Parts: sequence; structure tokens; C-alpha cells
Amino acid sequence: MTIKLFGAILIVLSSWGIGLTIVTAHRKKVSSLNDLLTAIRYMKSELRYRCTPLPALCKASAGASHGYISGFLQLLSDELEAQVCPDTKLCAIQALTHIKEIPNPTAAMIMTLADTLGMFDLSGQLDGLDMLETQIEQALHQLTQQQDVRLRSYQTLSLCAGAALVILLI
Amino acid sequence: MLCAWDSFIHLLPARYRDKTDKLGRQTLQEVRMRLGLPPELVFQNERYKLDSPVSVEDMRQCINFASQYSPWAAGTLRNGYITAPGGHRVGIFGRYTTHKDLGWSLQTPSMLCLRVCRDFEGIASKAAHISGSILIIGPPGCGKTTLLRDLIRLKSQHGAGNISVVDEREELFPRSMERLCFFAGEHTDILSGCTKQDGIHWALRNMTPSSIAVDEITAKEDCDALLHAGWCGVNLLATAHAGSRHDLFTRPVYKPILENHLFQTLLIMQPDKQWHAERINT
Repeated sequence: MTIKLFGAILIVLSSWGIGLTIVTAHRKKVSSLNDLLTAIRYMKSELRYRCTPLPALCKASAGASHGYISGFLQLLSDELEAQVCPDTKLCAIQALTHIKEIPNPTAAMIMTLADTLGMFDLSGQLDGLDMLETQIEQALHQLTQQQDVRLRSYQTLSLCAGAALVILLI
Repeated sequence: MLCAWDSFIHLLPARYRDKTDKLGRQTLQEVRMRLGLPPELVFQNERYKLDSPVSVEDMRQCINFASQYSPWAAGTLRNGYITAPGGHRVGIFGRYTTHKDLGWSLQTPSMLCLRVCRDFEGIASKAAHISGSILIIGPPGCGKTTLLRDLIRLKSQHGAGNISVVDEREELFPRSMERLCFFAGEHTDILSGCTKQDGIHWALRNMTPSSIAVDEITAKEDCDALLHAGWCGVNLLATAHAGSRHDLFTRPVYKPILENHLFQTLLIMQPDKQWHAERINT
């Protein structure tokens, strides 16, 4: 009986853990997109008023943002300073290989950012950054719409699924 | 002779570096990269073609390396060139698009001309004692900037007072990692990256110069700013594109500075990089 009880607790806990992982992943997505948004806004102001060259721009943006994005921008700045890759996009790919944890939608946005920063004209870059900012805002809006309710549902559902499994197995 | 050669070699795509380094370290003047053709190494009296043809990616890499991936940050791209680390000039030809409101943008580069920047100390020693304002003239690529650089350095070292250099293109005294690549003299103040007109006004107001030096006066605005400085009692050191004394006096843009006797001495350069001094008597 004790073993059955112990097993039941384990099943419920692990299924609740799955729910928690989903919630954490969701929060990570939102937080990395927010960090990217902060970095893009910082870049826009630097480019518009100071025309800061890319390696210095990425370094400064790394200081102004947080989390994975800050780490990525620092790595990108190092890649750009090393001048090994022929263009900005390849530098970004190289930098991304060092950071595995960046969630997929953010990684896709980062590649768009690298494309934009690789343009040869400032007005094109600023337009590209404006567009990317709008895309990120939309993605964030979708992710955070009724976020609390959804996240609570994930946790509840996972608990219920665990309980259902326990009933089925016992 | 000083040259930031490693910086120059690094601008080229990797497959061209070894051969260019081997052939050109001492005497190379230019590398011409034309889309779809092998790059051409240009020396004083000969040309040499490398093996494989140049691709668009090669050109983009070259522009990116010359500008730290930021060609838009170099204000000179609108004039068709970038000054790379070490003072090497990358001239860019290709397809530009212009828009009434948005300005211009470089779409596809199709030809690059990479000019090696070299510094020869002492080549202007015969001109260092010449007083008054000096204008260096000569055809493109004959070494006007190199001569002016040495003249500035020698005058600065020989007690000609403070010399303010308005180095719009950062070719006279280029920087690498925020340090000057070439010695500029102990009494030389360098203002780089801003236009000659603005730079001359700033130098006059803030730096109490005995002389002001500028490279390549080409526009009416440059001449107006020089006139202003000349009338303020400052000596001028400048270069101008002109194949000969006759060319100089024929070009309308230089008329005001010549009519107003702004310069007293001409240093005339030949294509073989030799020069001689002449007094200007208009």
C-alpha cells in the first residue's frame, strides 16, 4: 500500500512538473522577447543619434539588456570585432551556437535582427528595426494575452492528468 | 616607410591574402576588385592578376571589414568610399539608389578599389622651411596626401606653432584601435570625421592654430572656408587635384583662393611621386 501511495505521489508530482516546465518555458519566451525589445529600442536610439558602429553598438546594447539576449549581444560584439565571418548574419549564427537556451521564436527574431543590422544604409536599418519592434510587440501581445489564466490552466490540467493516471493505474 | 600592412591584407578575402602579401608588401599601390573578374594588383609600373574571380560576397566582406560591418557609420560612403583601419581607402562603385526623402543607399557593389596607405618620413624635408601657405597639387594617386602628412609632421616638430589638421576622410592621420597609425608631430591637433568647412571654423575658434591643414579641397565650400581662415592670419597647408599649374589656374572652383593670393607656394607632384616647389605669382 505504501509503495502504491508513493508511486501515486510520484506520478502526480511528475505530471505537475511537466505543467510547470510548460509554464516556465512560456515565461522564458516572454522574458527573452522583452529583453530583445529593450535591446532593439536601445539600438534604435544609438543608431539614430550617434551612428555607433555595430561592434560597439552590440556591446552597449548587451549592457542595456538582460538574460540570454545580453549574453548573445556580447558574443555577437566579440564576433564582429574578430572580423572572421564575412557578414553580420553569419556572425549572429556563430554567436547563437554558443547559446543553446534561446527559445525558438526569439532565435528567429534574432536572425531577422542580424539581417537588418547587416544592411548597408542607415534608413533601411532603422525601418527594419521599426518593423521588427512591431513584430515582437505583436508576438508578446499574443503570448501575454490572458497569460495568467492560461498558465494556471496548464498547471491545473497537468495535476488533473496526473490524478487521472493514478486512478487508471491503481 | 610605415604601413599598416596587416590591416590592409585583412580586408581581402582569405584566398587572396597569401599571394598579395608575398607580391605586394613593399610596393603595392592598389588592389582593384571587379565583379566576376580576378582581382588586379597595381604597382608603380606593372599590374598582376590573381587567380579566382571576385564574387558579390567577397565585395560585401571587404566593405564589412573596412567599416567594422557599419558602412553607414562612415559618413564618406555617400562620396563613394570608406577609410579602413590603417588609413587605406576603399573606393566603392556599383549600384546606388537614391530617394528624394530617404537619401541614397548602396544596393550592389560591383567594383572596389583598395588603395594602400603608406607613410614616408622625411619626403617633405626640403619644404619644411618654406613659410606661408602651401598648396600641394598633382594627379590622383601621385602621393599628395603622403607629402602633406610629412609636411605637417615636420612643421609641427620644427616649431611652426600649433597645427590643426581637419582630416575629413581620416586619411592623413588614420586611427587603428583608437591610436594614430602615424606620428603627427608634437604640436599637431587632429579633428577627424567632420566636414572641412565645419572643421576649419572649429579649429579657428577653439585651437588657436598657426596653421590649418586640409586634404583634397574639391568644393566651393572648402575654398570659402579656407578663404575665411586665410583672412584670419592663419597659414594653410592643403592639397588639390590638378595635373599641372595650368590645370589649377583653369579650374573655376580654385579661382577665389588664387585671386586672393591665399597660397604663396605650390608643391607640384609628378606621377612618379617626385615634386618641386614654385612660388605662386598670379
